This record gives sequence, C-alpha cells and structure tokens, in this order.
Amino acid sequence: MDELEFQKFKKIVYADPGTEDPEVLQAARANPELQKLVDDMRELDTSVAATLSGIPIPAGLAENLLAIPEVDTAVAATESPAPAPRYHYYALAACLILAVGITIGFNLNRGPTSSNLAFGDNVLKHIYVDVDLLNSAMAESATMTFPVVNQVMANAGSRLNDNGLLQNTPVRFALPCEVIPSFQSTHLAVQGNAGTVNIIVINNSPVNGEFTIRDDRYDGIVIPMDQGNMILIGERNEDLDQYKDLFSDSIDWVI
Amino acid sequence: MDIEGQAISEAADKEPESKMDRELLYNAINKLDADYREPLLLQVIGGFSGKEIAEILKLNNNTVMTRLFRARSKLRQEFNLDPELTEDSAKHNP
Repeated sequence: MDELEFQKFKKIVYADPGTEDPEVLQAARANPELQKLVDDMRELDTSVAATLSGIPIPAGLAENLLAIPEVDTAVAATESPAPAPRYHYYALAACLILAVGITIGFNLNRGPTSSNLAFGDNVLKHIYVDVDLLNSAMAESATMTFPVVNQVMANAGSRLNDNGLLQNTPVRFALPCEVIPSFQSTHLAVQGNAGTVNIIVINNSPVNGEFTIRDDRYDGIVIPMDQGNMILIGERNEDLDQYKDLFSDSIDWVI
Repeated sequence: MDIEGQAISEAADKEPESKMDRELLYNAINKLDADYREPLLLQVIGGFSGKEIAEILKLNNNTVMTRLFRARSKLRQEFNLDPELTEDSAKHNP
C-alpha cells in the first residue's frame, strides 16, 4: 500500500471506524498495522462514548434534530412496510437527548475534576498574592464608582450593571489580574459580614460546572457564567450565596 | 451502533483506563470546535450514518466525513498519537 492509498484508508477509518467497506476491511485483514489502526479507532470511539457523560448537547443541535418532521405513520404504512428513515431520526434523536441528559445528570453528581481543583488552587494562590493590596484598600473607607470599576472590568470583557442591587455593597477594590495565564481577569472586593469578599471575573470557561473550593482560611465558589466564570472567595464563615445572587445579576459580558 | 440497544451500555461499561485518561479525553472533546464535536456526538452516541448526519446538520456528506476525520485526528493529536494535520490535508475537503 503506497502513501496515497494509506491516506485514503486512514481517512475512511477515521471518519467511520465502524465502516463495512469491503476494501477497507480486506486491507486491514492483510496488514496488521492497518488492522491495529482500525482497532485503535474503535477503541477511541468506545472511550469517547464512555466519556461523553459530561459533554452538553451543542446549542441548537437538539432543536435541529427535533425539527425533522416525523412521517405520517398511516401514509408510511400504505407506502412501505418499513418505517421511513426520518421516523428513525425522530426516535433516535429522542434517545440521544435522553442518553446525554442522563449522563449529564450523572456528571453533575461527580466531584470536581483535577483540572477544576488545580484551577481552584490557582485562584486561592492569587488571593494570597493580592492580600496586602486588599488589606490596605479595605482599610480605607473609600468606595469605587461604577465608571472606574467598569474601566477595570473592561479588561476582562465585562462590566457591572448599575441596577441598584449593589447599592448597599459598594466595590472597594478593583484591579486587573491574571489568574490563568493569557486570560484577562478582574479582581473586585467588597466588605462582607465576616471580612473581605473577593469577586474574580474571568472571560473564559476553564471549568465544566459550578464547584466549591476551600482551604484553611477561605471558602469559595466557582460559577460558570454565559461567557466566563465568576469566582467568589470569602472567609470560612462568610455566606457567599447572597453575593452569588447579587453579582450574577449585576455582571454583564460586553464581548 | 444501536442507540436503543446495548452498544451504548457496553461502551459506558468500558471506562478509559484511568480517571485521568477520562478527564484528558473529556477535555479534548470539549476543546473540539462544535463543527467537529456535533457530528462526532451524533455518530458515536447517536449511531447515525454519515448521510443521516449530513441531513441533520444540513451539510453534504463529504463535509461530514471530513469533519469526522478531523475530529478523531484532533483527539488523537491531543494524546500525541497523530501528527499535526497538514495544510494540504486541511485543504483536501471543505
């Protein structure tokens, strides 16, 4: 088999490891390396199926599937003894959505992944790096105006909505930061009941679901939002849920 | 693959070798563009043929097969099992 034939073989097997193309199967039987490639790709599919428990249905895909009209079964019965392919689509689409829905539910019950935990560690390290700056800012009674805060938040493609929700929770600290290299973030702080409450806004989505982080001093929540993440960090006995509601409703994404 | 049958449950039973493998693969699938992830999901989970995927996604069959090829190539690249896609191969199909 020359290079061109190999590339053709590979293209077919990669596109459909379950191919029943007789030429492909014959070539695989005649060449252990090709057979291994087929086996590897089938194994990859098995792993993908097992792993897809956490992959949400892409936006619009479910709608596209369900938009395919179901055939009139009475007409189908008179025209052909076998169900029309589109009828199958509908049934399969329903099964697909059900299967992914179930597995997503399963995934939500899992603990944070190692990458989420590493992300949480980075956030906590960042808080400790900024702690002196934070302490001096919080020691002053000055608060920051929305235009100034939003100038800083533009760095992370976001802004605070002056909707009145934060009237009693003024921002006391706002600085650009970089919790994840190459991704711009904004670090805000407000005065909580138990100490400083940190709000970090990152304009990307490095986590796959909401989860909590904790160390000896701090509690935190990582909250995926539409176009990024919001992380709340406060002292261990701080009630972060109220800040979650407050800032979830006050942060807009502008890019 | 039979969506209503045992193929999926068999697949689900056969976990990747370690939790880390599963996480790496999960991340690799998540990193795929939707253009690649959608047909892969439809084929692997839904058991749809290339022609059926083409109809669902309103694409032509060649485009679907190319996207499936690239989806698996990219996954294998994540595990250093495949060389980077060349410009030539990328131009081969839409």
